[in-house]
Amino acid sequence: MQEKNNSFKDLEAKWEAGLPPELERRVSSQTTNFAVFGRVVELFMPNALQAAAHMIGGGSDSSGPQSNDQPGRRPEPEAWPDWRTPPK
Amino acid sequence: MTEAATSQNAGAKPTDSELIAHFLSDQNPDHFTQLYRRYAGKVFAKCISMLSDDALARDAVQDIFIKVYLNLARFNEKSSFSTWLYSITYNFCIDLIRRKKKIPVLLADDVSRISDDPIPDIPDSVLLEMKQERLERVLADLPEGDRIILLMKYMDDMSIKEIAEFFKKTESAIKMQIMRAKHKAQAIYDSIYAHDPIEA
Repeated sequence: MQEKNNSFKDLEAKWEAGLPPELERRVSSQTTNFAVFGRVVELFMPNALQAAAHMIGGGSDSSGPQSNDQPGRRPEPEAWPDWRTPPK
Repeated sequence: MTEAATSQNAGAKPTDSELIAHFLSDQNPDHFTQLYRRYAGKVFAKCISMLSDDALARDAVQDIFIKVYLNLARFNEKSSFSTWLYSITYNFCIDLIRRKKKIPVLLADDVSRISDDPIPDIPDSVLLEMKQERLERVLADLPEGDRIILLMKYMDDMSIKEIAEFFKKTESAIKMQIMRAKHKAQAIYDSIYAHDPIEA
């Protein structure tokens, strides 16, 4: 197939060649900052939220293993003494 | 799928989809840098063609790639990555032009008025075979809307349907806009190069 002449494509190639190389560094440093910030949030945010919840009077998840240690909470049924079994 | 598998097996360059998948799974900026290297030139060319300002185009490229970085998880692969990226580029530059020049609409919506008075079409070859420097000059003098629509058609090979979907207009409206843009380009060319109409 015969290649058609297209001055628009030639112009595009000329403009593409003018891309400043330092732009990659600018974009790259900004994306790295975002990545670092994302990791920090990922690492510390759950603990920070938990701490904030404790500060405003909330407790940890009631289905968690330490839930029975909370003062004033009723122990789980399996922790109750079984009065039907006679003492040895 | 087949393309991705082939490129992995053959150890060839990863496809855009592979790079995006890797980036989304490990958040490694190197994968994004590879995408940047692939497309930054094209994006810069589009920005400079639409904004006609080198410094503005640089800032626009940076902002567009940051936008892409932050929204990559939303890319749903309904279209190719390049189509998605170029549509972000066009939207970004059009918004910038609107804000800077305070133009509410880029394309005039007066198709019904001019459709009653048909104008003769100018062959594509008139623009396609224009000398590069002269085409650059003519494009710079065209109104933004006309310039963008010509770039979409002749630089990006977008179909009339794709352009119509982008601008949310009918295909006949877009055809008319292209025809008008070509006439304006021809008029600008004639006014600048009247003394030297035949290119060397």
